[in-house]
Amino acid sequence: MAIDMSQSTGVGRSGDAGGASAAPSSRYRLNFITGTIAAAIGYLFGHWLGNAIAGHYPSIVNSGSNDPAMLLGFIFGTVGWFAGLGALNYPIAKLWGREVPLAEKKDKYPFMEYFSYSTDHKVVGKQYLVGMLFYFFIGGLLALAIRTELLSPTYHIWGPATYIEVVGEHGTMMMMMMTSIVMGPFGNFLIPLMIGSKKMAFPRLEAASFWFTIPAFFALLSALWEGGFQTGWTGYAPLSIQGGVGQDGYLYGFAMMGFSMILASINMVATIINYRAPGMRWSRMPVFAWGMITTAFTMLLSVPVLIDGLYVLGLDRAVQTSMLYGEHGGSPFLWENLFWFFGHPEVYLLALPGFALTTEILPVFCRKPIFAYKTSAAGMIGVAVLSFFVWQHHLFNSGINPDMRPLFMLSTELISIPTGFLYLVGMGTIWRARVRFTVPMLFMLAVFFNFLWGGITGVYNSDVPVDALIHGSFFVMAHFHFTIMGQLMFAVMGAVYYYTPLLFGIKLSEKLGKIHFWSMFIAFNSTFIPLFIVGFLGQPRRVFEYATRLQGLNQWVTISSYVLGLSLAFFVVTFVWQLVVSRPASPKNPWESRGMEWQVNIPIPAENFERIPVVLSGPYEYGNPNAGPIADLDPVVVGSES
Amino acid sequence: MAANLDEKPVIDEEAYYHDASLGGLWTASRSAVAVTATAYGGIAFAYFYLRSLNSNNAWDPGGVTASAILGTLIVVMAIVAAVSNSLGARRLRKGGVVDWQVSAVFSLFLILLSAGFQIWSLTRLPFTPSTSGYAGVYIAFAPVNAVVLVLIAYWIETLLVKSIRAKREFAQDGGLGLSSLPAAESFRANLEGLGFYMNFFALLSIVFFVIYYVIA
Repeated sequence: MAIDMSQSTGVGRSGDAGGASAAPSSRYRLNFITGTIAAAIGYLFGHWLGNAIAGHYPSIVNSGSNDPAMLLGFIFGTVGWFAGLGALNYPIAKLWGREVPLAEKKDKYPFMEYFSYSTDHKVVGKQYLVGMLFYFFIGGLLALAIRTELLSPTYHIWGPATYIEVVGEHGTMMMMMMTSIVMGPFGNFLIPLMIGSKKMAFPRLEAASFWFTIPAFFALLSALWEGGFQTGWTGYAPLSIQGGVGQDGYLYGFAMMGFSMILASINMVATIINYRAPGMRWSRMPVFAWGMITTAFTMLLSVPVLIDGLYVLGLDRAVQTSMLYGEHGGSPFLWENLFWFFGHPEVYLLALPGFALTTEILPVFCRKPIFAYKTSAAGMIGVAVLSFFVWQHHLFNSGINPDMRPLFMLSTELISIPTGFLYLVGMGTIWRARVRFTVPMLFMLAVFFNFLWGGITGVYNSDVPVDALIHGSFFVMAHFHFTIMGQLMFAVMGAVYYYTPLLFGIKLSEKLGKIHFWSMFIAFNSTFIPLFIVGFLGQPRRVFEYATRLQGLNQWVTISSYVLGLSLAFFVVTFVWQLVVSRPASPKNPWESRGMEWQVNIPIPAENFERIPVVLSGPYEYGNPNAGPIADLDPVVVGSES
Repeated sequence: MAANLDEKPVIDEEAYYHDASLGGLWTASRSAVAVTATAYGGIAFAYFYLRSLNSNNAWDPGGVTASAILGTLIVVMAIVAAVSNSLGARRLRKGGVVDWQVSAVFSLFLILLSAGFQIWSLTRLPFTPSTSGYAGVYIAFAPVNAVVLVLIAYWIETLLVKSIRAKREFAQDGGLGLSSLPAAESFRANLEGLGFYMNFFALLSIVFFVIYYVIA
């Protein structure tokens, strides 16, 4: 496994090390346009090659689909994409022993930098933010399509096959792409600032992690034009090995997203462990950094198994192996195990960053220290570790050895303990605080309200008898929407409002933000609370028809979801307006935070800190009159920097 | 970090980030090991899961395995390459740059040959992909193994070429193995990561040799 040696030893000097990549010529720069052209050529070549290799196979001739051609098209398309972006220049140059220096970091970049293979962590963070929100809104539009179909149990807009395609696309888009919605934008942008570093450990890996998300997104989206995939986001065999080529888009897109997560995680772990500023002890590290490192470790140890599962599925489809087909020595349950070994930790890959953001932001607006800081870190580690021991609860209904059920029921119940730590840390922080009800704080409070619904319903979902009853119903669907959208997406929205001064140098309007918050909060709960009821009343998931007695509740939910959609559209419009047109300037540290990331000027200087800071105290000493400054930002520097 | 007369912290920033970059290489190589172990672990799980289920008595009805000769050659070459690299790296740390370069060329040759044999083994399979559970998991394993071998070869090659290019740069400072220049230290840290990874991979190869050829 080749390690990206993009970091080097000189620091702070422009051009020769610091944080940025492949030194581009000022005259031209490869970017997403050249990447797109090269990807198209690569895709066509791969597709042609697949047809040339497998087009005459009896299993393909009259099947109407050619999986090898699809997959080779995707593979060569991705290679073309990275070649067109210029991402391969560096590894190729290394073959000749040449070290291409990282590009010089700048205070201000031209617009096209954001469409290029930039290695500045601040640019990558912004690329991720826009990309992830775009993927989220596409997934949201698909959700509205689902709800539109469910307006009536008898009058149909989509056929059953189209409906399940849309459900699968929505679920996969959200579960697959949103794993990076915190680590991508906020992790990449903030972690060096929070730990007092001028750079990331592996800027090229960081950049690659973002640019992998784009072929992942398009591969997944392309499934809609290829007949979709009928399996939903869980991709269960044998349906997944029988489906059309849309399933190839699913498995390839998911695998690309897996590579993205692995690269991002290696970079994140190496950065947090090694690049903390002097004095930034583990006990002084921001909770957000704890959240990122536990998430990254969880990704490193779970995502490869998902890629294994997708690879096995791809081989069964394209090479005619039979690992997921019982007749020839395989088993569809192999997929379920490989998938859920990743799939359940993934739930925590979504929840942990949400809690990390929440716990990071709460004390700023409570003006008091985090309650039980160490418990918070322990809770995150506990969740990360236990998340590997619960996956079989997804198999309670699908053939698990009955003797194994109590064990996984117990482990699933156990994980509510460290999760409870995180919740109680938040509650303890709010307790008797003089809360400042700003927009970010409102979103953080909503996280706790929403997660209460999702968390409590999750506890008894883990009990086998309850799970057997409600697993396939809308009840479970409501449960995980509360834990994921209600927790993660509210935390993300709050973080967008909170960190916009750092990200873009503007402070979003409190008035518009509160309209967005209240409309989103009310509409979200109005959408998903009734789904617990319809689930209990027996409405199954992934089915486009339902009992007519449930029509009233479903119509309520659908209309609420439209309001939710409008609320998010309102956010997009007001956000873009303020970002592009009105640009309300933000003062330095507008929230009076003690966090290291807020000690820099706005806009953030190219190297983050003029000199490497020396951390003197923790970031949460609010309300402590004896608390000194968090860091000395102007230490004496010796060596070449002095 | 120390204090001067004004009690201001004193930082050697260049040295600080140099140490960080060395730590980054250490962490990354260990992370690569973790990712590889998990990825291979998934394949091993598939192997044992299907083997224990033996669905339709079709795990490996004829007791047919992939070419044991090629499998043996592949694992032996991976082990010899790891040992060669380790010995060469030890010589490098004593100043023997050329010794390491020779061992690296040898390791590179073996690893490339091993990757070639792994790919070749797929063209000589005594079964079709859908014959059995064993056939499936072997066909899943072989390309992954070949890709990892090629990536190891890339890693060795880039270090080798770099050592050749940097020969003059470090000659006056004791050579690449002894120089205290940051670039030389980075090189050695990278080589240490490669050595750790290759040793791990050699162990992994033995495990998979056992499951695919000995107990199959």
